Amino acid sequence: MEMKRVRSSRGVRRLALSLIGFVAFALVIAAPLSAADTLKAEVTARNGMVASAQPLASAAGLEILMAGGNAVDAAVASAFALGVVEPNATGLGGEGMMVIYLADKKITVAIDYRSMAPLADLSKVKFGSVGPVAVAVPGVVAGLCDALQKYGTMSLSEVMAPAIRYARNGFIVSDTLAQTIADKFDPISKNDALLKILAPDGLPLQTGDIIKNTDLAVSLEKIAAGGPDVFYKGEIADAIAADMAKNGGYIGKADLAAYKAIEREPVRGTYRGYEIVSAPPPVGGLSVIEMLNMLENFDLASQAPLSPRNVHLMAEVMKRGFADNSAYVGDPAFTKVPVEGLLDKAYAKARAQEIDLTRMSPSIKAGTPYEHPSTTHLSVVDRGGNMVALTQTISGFWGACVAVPGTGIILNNEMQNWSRSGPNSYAPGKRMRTTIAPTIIAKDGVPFVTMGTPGAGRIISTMVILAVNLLDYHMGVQEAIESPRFYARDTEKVLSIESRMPKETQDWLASIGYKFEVYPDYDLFFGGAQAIVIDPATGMMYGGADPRRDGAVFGF
Amino acid sequence: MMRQYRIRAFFFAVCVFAALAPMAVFAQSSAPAAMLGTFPQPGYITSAGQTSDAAIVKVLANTRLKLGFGYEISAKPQAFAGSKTLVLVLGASNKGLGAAGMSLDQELARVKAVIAQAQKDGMKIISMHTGGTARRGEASNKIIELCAPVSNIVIVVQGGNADGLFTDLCAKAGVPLVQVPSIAEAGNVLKSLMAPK
Repeated sequence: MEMKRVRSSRGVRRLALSLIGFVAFALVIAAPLSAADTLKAEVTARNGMVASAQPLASAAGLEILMAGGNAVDAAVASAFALGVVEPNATGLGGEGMMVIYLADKKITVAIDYRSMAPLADLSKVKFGSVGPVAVAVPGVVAGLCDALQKYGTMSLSEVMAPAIRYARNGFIVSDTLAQTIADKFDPISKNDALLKILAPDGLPLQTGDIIKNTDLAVSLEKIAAGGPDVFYKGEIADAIAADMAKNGGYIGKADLAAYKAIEREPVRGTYRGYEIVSAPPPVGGLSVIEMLNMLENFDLASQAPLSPRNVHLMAEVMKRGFADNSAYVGDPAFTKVPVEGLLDKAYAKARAQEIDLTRMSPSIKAGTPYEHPSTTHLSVVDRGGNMVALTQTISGFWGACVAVPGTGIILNNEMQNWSRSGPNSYAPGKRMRTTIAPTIIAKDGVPFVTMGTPGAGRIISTMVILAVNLLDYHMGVQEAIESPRFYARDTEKVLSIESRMPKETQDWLASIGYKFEVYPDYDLFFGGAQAIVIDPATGMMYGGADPRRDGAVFGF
Repeated sequence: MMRQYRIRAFFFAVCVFAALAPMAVFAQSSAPAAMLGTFPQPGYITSAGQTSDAAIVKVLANTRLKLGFGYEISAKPQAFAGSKTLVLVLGASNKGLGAAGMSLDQELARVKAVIAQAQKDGMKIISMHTGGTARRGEASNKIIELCAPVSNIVIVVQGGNADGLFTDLCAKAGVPLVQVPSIAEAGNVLKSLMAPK
């Protein structure tokens, strides 16, 4: 990949100081759009906006937008920065998927940088969820570099500068980050390289401590200077392969060299006249649209958002959508995914008709769609109308709890995501299914929402709740994000709810057969959504970030 | 008038002292002098409730304090044969229980068996709670109520005893309670209790 030259005239460094002033200004003008009480204020801006799971990552994207970069430049900058400041959830050792809308060409593309199984036959191996065996070939570097080269305007070294700065200078450990370290400290403590990052003085980093990762800063600098080949074929590849060989992992240099990000056609559907464009298989956008198709058969807006009937309907729809997801979605290079059948309105109607409004379905199986031949999130909007919805993950928090010595890179544990059989069963070189679903919503061909969330199995259900909150109940974006969440799945015996679910709704649901797993008022079990909504009439941007994590929105 | 005021003030002071004195006995900030250096080596750390805080205590004890304790987050009774002091790190963790594939009842049964074995072997027991309010709640309380009364000493990082549960349990069982401001300080107390190898 040919690197673009640093354009010093853009003066990223010079703008860094003024950034603080602009951010402060953006925060001052932050105001709730709706009358609803929210924990965080909705942020408004006119020229550009970044919503991500960590304030410094949002600031990185804003810095790039203010330096003249487009939404892709800013998204890539924020994504690299997230890998530094939200290392429990994403990073160079992870993977992701992004959906990009290009305003000048009026096209939407998806870039699949999902991780991949090593090329050797590992069908007899038990992968587990921690340790080198759980690691799949990472895709983040390939995906972000690919997006920047094809659709960005700035150089890799320009957009990676904030991430390098954060890694070298350090940043303050938040409550959320400290808790994820404490929660996983048993496996973390078994990996010396990871322990060196997270417990540099022999005790896990606590809230308020400064975390630095200078080895990661050096790795980022090498990539900024030499491009993705440094990671996949160069000295970082050497370091990963050597650590794997030493500790019983299976990723070798050939696996890393074989990795490619793939540009795919997004999945598309409609919901009550809005166009939904989301991430295609092997991830979860297809199921988001299928669930919305089922919900379209009911008048949700005639009742309150958390009314007993509506929660019951949405829970039943979630279960059916998840059952179909498990039965049909896998890597399209290895399995034929019935995309058109699952997106078919008639199929959704038939599935919706299975729902009994007076009782909970005791068990749900996958449907039979017509077959036609054929874990952090960030959202960015720029003044040109370009949009990016990007979701990245290292699977579980802290991934495989393995850091590559000398690189500061924390590796994913995606190999735990194979199914025992079906379209998501393991195969060499295959990409495993996950639920990530970065999504763009348009009206009359003009995109006006970019949204997404982490949250493992809750991603798809949370995306459906967000879409319904915005499109049926016309909530403000922050209110839509903060609204109490719930999650149902065909394989779960309980309905998971935040404790803010109204008591009368809980009582009625219990009376028709539901059992509950009750989580605290705002719990990161349900993900950490970020979204930006543009008012088509005024062009004003409204951003929301999730208080369930450390989300932050900055605009100018 | 002034004399009456002085009598009332004296009576009030006596009442306050009487109320606080037991707490002073059972919630010190360092180990009782008589217990210093009396817990025999080697020590062994396990969780009670599958909290990852046990791993934090392990790193604290072994990496920072060089105590060389054995460790297994969900140790079975036979795992610590030969050890003389058992360190139970208290706190129920849903994530930890899930990762271990255990229910709370199964974990309570494991901890009971661990305590029974330790008592049978004449081991001393130190209970530590380092997770603050995040490691409190109904499930954690069951663990704490099981472990604190059978311990020789309990060490709690502030926040974990905000509701006085440890104070009450230790007072009733006559177990010394040491309350410290940080995990690092809890480590210092732990080290002060251990006999030289």
